[in-house]
Amino acid sequence: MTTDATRTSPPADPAGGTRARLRARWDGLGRSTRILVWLFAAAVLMKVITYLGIADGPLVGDEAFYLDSGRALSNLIRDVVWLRSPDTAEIERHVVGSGWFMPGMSVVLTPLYLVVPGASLALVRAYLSVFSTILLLLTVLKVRRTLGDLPAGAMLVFPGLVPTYAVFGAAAWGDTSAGLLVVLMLCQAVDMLRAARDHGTISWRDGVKLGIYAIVAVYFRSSVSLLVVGMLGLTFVLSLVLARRADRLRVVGTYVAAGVVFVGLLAPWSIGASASLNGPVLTTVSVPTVRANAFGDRDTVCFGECDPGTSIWFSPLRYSREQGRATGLSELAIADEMSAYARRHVTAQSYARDVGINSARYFGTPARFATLLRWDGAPYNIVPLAEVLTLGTFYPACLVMLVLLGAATRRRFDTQLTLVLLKVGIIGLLAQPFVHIGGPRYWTTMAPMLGIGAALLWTLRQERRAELPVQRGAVSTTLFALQIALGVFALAVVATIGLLAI
Amino acid sequence: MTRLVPSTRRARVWVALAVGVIVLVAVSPAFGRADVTGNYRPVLPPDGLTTGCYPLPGGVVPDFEYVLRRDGDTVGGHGLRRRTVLHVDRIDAAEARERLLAQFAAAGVDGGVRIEAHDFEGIADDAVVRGELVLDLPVVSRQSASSECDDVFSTKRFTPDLTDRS
Repeated sequence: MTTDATRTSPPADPAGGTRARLRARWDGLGRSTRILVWLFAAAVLMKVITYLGIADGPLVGDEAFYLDSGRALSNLIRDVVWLRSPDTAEIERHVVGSGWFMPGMSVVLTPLYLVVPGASLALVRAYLSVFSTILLLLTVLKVRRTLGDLPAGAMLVFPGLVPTYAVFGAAAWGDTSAGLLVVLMLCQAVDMLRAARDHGTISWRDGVKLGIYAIVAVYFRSSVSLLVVGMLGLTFVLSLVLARRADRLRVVGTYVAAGVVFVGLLAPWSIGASASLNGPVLTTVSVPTVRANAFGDRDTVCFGECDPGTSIWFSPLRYSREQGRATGLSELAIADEMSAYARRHVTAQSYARDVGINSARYFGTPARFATLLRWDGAPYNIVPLAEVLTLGTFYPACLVMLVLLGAATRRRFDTQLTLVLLKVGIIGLLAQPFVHIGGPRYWTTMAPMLGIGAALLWTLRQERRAELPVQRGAVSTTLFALQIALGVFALAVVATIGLLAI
Repeated sequence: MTRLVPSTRRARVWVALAVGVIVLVAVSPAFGRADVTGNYRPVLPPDGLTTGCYPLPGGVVPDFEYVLRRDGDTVGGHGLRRRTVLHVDRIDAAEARERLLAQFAAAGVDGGVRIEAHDFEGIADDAVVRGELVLDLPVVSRQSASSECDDVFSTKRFTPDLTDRS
């Protein structure tokens, strides 16, 4: 690369010199890197195409909250900078709100509202689009460093080139960002476990990084909590297995660092929200109402029918707040009672059937949000493009997901490790239909893992063809057993739900 | 390790960025405040029995913890009547009924008031929300011109055109 650059210099024309240097650098990149650059450019192009299709479209659902919360946080910074007393009522009402959402995306939006307090929706969407593109790039770079070019490229194709995914990049929900943070976390875990295998120990700095990725993922979308806990736990146990006996205490220290960072960054939210809502809040508190709506009798969520005129989320909220006001108790305590009452007739069969319905909603209409977010004044209609490309890639990706859950290998440490972590990730995210009403937004969190998973399946095939030797060590056997156990667990859960439902 | 000790040029870029952010934050209040819409946490409207819009007979406000659930006029066997539904907290519905009837008597409301009471099924003894009172009352017209009386989420006098938006 440097030899090429020196050969073409020095030019008389500085612009021509820059061009020549860039040319030389491009030529020196290597074929796979050049392909990655092209794929990233295509992903950016897809972002631009879809942005124009939704630029001035409506705010959909919870987006309204994240925007308001970003505005309130920017006001908080203004107050702090000019030494005014912060408007705590505004913070409580718009950042904590009803404790339904953690403020990850609100923090992302804060700098924009700090500079442009009255930012138009088109500007907000452009800003979010740029943010999600940068986050995608950073994640792809990390995937490339840790797992290689193939998974990085696969991730740029799916979900990078999927229009609906690009649409979500310009929207204010945290699902896509949480999915990318999960991938960063997965790569970090792989790095750490490799270090444990190769050097017998792991630096505490790596633990701090792992903790940061984990808590940021939770701040973006608290529904990844289960995945995060599972991945942290598994990485911890495997690290102890892999570490040198003498260094085990140091490895424990690494994970203590991860835990301290995680809890330390979660605490401001938990403490603030608990104080504001006068009840215990760890991450979010929508779960009781969610379970009542998903599995209970919706006509008795408010000990009878809720108020008409608003949604299945806001009517129960008003009821619990009114009860809280009447009794002086926290609305959270009331919501728990409401949920238990609405679910008093839930049976194993009704639960299993509702899980089935939720799953259908989870997987049913993956391109739905392109329609919801599109803009009447758009130069073209992105919905047909979104439908064709999303349906055409999403269902093959679902197939990849099933194959991944069933796959098992004991040929190479790296492949084994990635497969185990992907299985934990997929199972952690698939818990969603078991506790929550499904929706066509949630797949975007899992999507990057499925892209990486597709590349992994290709690698598995290559390893089998190359007839790499099967590893016999204790570590390999442990990882192999974990792969089988996770696959059997997933199958058992699906079979149980299926049997209960019929 | 080399990454931790950045080259001079790199350091300069970082310092410039940091200074830029600090300046931006420092001058940001000059751009004005961001207006929040508050759609996701509306201010809770007042309890409809305390606003004076559609008071209970004798101006009675229950002396136990309750939430107004429904209010409005219905046509039944006794002509046009007011039907008011309350949810009762911390005490049995029957006890709440006795206390409310006593309050009506003390307020000089003689007759024309019937109360049905029932506890919710399967509720624990230490539960907060316990039961329901259905009050059968004489019709009352709007008693106040306040705009609060137009808020159906306060009066709970819902009209049939309000449907669920789920």
